[in-house]
Amino acid sequence: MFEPDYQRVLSIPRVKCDSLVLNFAQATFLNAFEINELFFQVINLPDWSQIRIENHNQCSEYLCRINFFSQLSNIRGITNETTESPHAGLNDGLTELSIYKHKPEFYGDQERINTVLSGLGLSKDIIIKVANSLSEIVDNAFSHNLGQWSLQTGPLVSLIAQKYKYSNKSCLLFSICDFGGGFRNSLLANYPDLKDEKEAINSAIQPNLTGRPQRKGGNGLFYLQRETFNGFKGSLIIRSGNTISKVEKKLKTTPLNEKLPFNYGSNVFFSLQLL
Amino acid sequence: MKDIFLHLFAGEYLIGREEGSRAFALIDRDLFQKYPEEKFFFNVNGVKVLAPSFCDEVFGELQIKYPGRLFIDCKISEGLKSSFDVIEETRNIKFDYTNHFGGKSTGNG
Repeated sequence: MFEPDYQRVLSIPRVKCDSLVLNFAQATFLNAFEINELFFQVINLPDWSQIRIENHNQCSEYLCRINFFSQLSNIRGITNETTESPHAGLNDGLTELSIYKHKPEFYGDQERINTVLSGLGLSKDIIIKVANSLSEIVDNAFSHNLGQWSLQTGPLVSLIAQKYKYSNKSCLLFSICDFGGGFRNSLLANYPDLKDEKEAINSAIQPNLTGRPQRKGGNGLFYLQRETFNGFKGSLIIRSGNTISKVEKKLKTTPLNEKLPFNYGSNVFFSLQLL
Repeated sequence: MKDIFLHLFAGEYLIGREEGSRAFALIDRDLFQKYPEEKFFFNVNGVKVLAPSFCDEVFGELQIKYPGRLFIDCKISEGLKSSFDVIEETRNIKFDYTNHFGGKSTGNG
């Protein structure tokens, strides 16, 4: 139900003169995964120094509220005066876009993340499991992309959390996007036989499989998929480079698309339906 | 048996393999090697985040290096235990959970 719609994401941005034009005519809603993908796409577009929004709607309002445009402007080092909104800066509950440029920045944000998760009325155990999962994935994003970051951004990890109502049930959606080299590049030194990103994603969710030089670890995605399907009705989707795969129970993946029109970075997306 | 309150010893937010490795080195030197006859009871319930990688570096390594000397509070919350569970599964080890009380308490070893 949360499978990403890439056409919708790719239809939004274009560069005209020195402006980034974001047209929301085709987009009335973006989930956490898609917001991160849009962020990713836009940052990698060259030659823009201001943002212009066309067909302002509830989706662009929403992006204003989670500080999408101001984060974007900060990354590009521009002053953004075109995206002011009456609601800008007001976060609704869990919805957050957090950008981390180095590990300590994420570590320093733990208290706030914990407070935000606590404010949702989740049980202590769920908060710990979610926080554990987020910590693993963000920490790994920094560790495994050392030396492989995009020259456009340098080290950069974005984390989006969304609370979403679906069929009268609350869901939590999380997306962690990095601007690094993708899973295959990270694993290739230890596993030189990996043919493509599809194989790399499938390998990365297995226990004890890691790209670290000392070959220790490999618990992050294994823990995430274990907890996503253990006690929750959850889903886990991973994009690495040009491939996006859905993680099934029992450590299997199903590719959804292996020919995306770009090939770098990764995006880990999980949803938890609260019981 | 010495009681260790992990949140006082290492902090409330325990993340990262590298940080776990440093914590292990300290616990190894200042507790397990310093008191070679002692057993250690870890109360982890004040911890807010225990990432499996950190847990693996500290408790996975300790359990392998010092079997029979490491005990975890059996009143551990389900959320925190999930990190221990994944280490048991991936390392093929078993942690000892106990309800020990009355040992010599310390927050800093």
